[in-house]
Amino acid sequence: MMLYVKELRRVVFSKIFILFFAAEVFFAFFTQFWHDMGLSYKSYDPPVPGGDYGMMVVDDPPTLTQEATASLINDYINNKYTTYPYGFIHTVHLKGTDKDKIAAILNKLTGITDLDKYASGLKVECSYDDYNQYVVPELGVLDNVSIDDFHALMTEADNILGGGSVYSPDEIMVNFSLGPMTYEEALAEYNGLINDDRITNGYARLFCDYHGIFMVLLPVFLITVYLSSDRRSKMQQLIFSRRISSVKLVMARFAALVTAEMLPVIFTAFLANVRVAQYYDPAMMDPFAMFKYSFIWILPTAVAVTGIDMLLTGLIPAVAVVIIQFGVWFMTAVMGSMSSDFGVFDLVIRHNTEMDRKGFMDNINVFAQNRLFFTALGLVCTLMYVFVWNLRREGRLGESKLLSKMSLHKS
Amino acid sequence: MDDKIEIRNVSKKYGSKTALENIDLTIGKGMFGLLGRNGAGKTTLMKTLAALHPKNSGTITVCGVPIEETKKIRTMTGYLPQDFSMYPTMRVEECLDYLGVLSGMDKALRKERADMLLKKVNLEKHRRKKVKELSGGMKRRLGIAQALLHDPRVLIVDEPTAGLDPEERIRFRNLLGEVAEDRIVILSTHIVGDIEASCEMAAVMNEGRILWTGNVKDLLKDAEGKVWTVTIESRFLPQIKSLYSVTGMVMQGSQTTVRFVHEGTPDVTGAAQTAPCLEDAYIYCLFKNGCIDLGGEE
Repeated sequence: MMLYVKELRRVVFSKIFILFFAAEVFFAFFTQFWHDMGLSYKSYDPPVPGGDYGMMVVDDPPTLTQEATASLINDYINNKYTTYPYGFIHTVHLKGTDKDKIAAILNKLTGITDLDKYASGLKVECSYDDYNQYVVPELGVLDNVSIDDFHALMTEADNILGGGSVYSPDEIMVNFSLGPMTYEEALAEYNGLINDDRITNGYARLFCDYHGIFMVLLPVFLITVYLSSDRRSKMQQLIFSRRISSVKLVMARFAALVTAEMLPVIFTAFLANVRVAQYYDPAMMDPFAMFKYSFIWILPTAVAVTGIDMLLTGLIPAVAVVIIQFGVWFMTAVMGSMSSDFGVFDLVIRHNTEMDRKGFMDNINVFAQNRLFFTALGLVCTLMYVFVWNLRREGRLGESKLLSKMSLHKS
Repeated sequence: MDDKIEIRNVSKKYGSKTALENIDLTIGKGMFGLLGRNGAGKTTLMKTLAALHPKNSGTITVCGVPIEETKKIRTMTGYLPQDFSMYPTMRVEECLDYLGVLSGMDKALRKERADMLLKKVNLEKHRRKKVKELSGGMKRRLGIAQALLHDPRVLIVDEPTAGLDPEERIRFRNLLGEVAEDRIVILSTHIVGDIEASCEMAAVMNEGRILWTGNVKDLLKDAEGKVWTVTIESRFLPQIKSLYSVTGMVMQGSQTTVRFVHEGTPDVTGAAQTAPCLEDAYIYCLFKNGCIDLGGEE
């Protein structure tokens, strides 16, 4: 315990921790959660019958097939497809056989053989940025193909476009299968937030959604700088020669790092409560929700990232660890879906709304498995780091010329 | 438990390079000097004794405990590496407290030992200073304090006086002499003066081998009758250097007084025998073992 306290002091009084803390608070909280609930924010009122409650994803194959196919026809005629292959916007213009392949897909979906001739008979609804939006009449797609074949053809179109398009399996429903929300559905959503979630549980999911993204990226700087301080300070040999067991020292450092990584989350959880209380009656709020979600949602991320980065830092240079971690962050956080359809092995769990309690709860078992998996992964990696650290301590790993050159901890 | 370190037939290789070759040494209580050139294998031997490097073969026992029992060895050993420092923003007393925790000491004992050692190494007034504010000599003294913190039976100090000014060097040697009263202290150095001033027993190492070990007086005795001085015209200096192992030169105008080691009578007019100092004895030891050619070159 004494060692843990000393290690924690070393971490939190370091310059890199101050930078980490400021970055986590600024990027994961102030620019996101705090900003979302800015001056123009309005709290939810109970829905009234006959109102407009917005759109929601519905299971309606005729709507899906019509809307998606009409969109593909528009893109084909304009030869302009917007995709997000690596999280960034990209406009695709097809030529030659790829263009013919899209035409063939549309032919299977609609039976239309000459799309140029077909386009000449369509009316332009509006134009923007050299793109003509045509009014496409009812196509009767399901008369030509089954719903499974439709999905297969849309996936093929997405592959031709290089992936990341609105026709990809991850995106097609949220883009084309939308229907108006009914009063009952709107009321259920409202009650889910106000009564079941006691307001803050819903906002806590949004709060954790943002923190989860940055908790994958930012700790790597804290971990690599902290772990390399023994070598940089020429203190490594003094520590190696002490009586303490390698397990005890590494675990104390691991616990100190994880605690330090959670400090900005805990700090902003207080602020998030204050922010939500500006719009809702505090008596109706769950005052512990932000903290509860922080521990079950963000703590496993911190454990996993710390364990993995400690192990990597023991084996490869700090710069390489940062690059790898950045790659993981980019693939999981930037390119991932923002909805709650996460899997067991998604390090970043997204749920970018305070609403949709039902969508989250429907996936709660996967959430629990996911968090347990990453907690276990973090602990296993930390134990592997104990082994690596002990090899270095006994001068066994440092004797490998390759590892010595690569490693952060030269002995 | 024995108060001695026994090293038997120890060898160590880094890839194809032999760092230690069949080392046999017995080191008892008091100051023991390990003298050798840079790269002689002293640091490897020190690290092996501190359980920081594995040996390839042979046996080592520290006060009766095999070196493989690393936890016990670390409990009874204090180590001061050649090139060390501490977290620069930590205060002196915080450093000792932190390392005391790593040595498994309770709070009261850490405070008692740190107070006593800071007084002993004359850093009491600087206990609130940050490590980055300490001079080189102060850092070395703090290094000794940390190595003695858990009251080890064996103290291993690797090149502790390199880079210190003469005053700090003397102070440091005296400090080592004091702590060696009731424990084994192994002092590794390439500075002959450190051994001469502080060690009764010593060993000379070269290219991973022990060339000589015993009482320092015996090393001097070996060199008796082998050290010569002669005053020559400076223009003959290159010839002298090519024929003998020169250990010292003093130039006075066009004349140079040369000190050199040689077995038998040198073929130089006016050469006279002189009493050896430890530096002469060390060079003679290297010369006798074929580690340096005539002229003192490797």
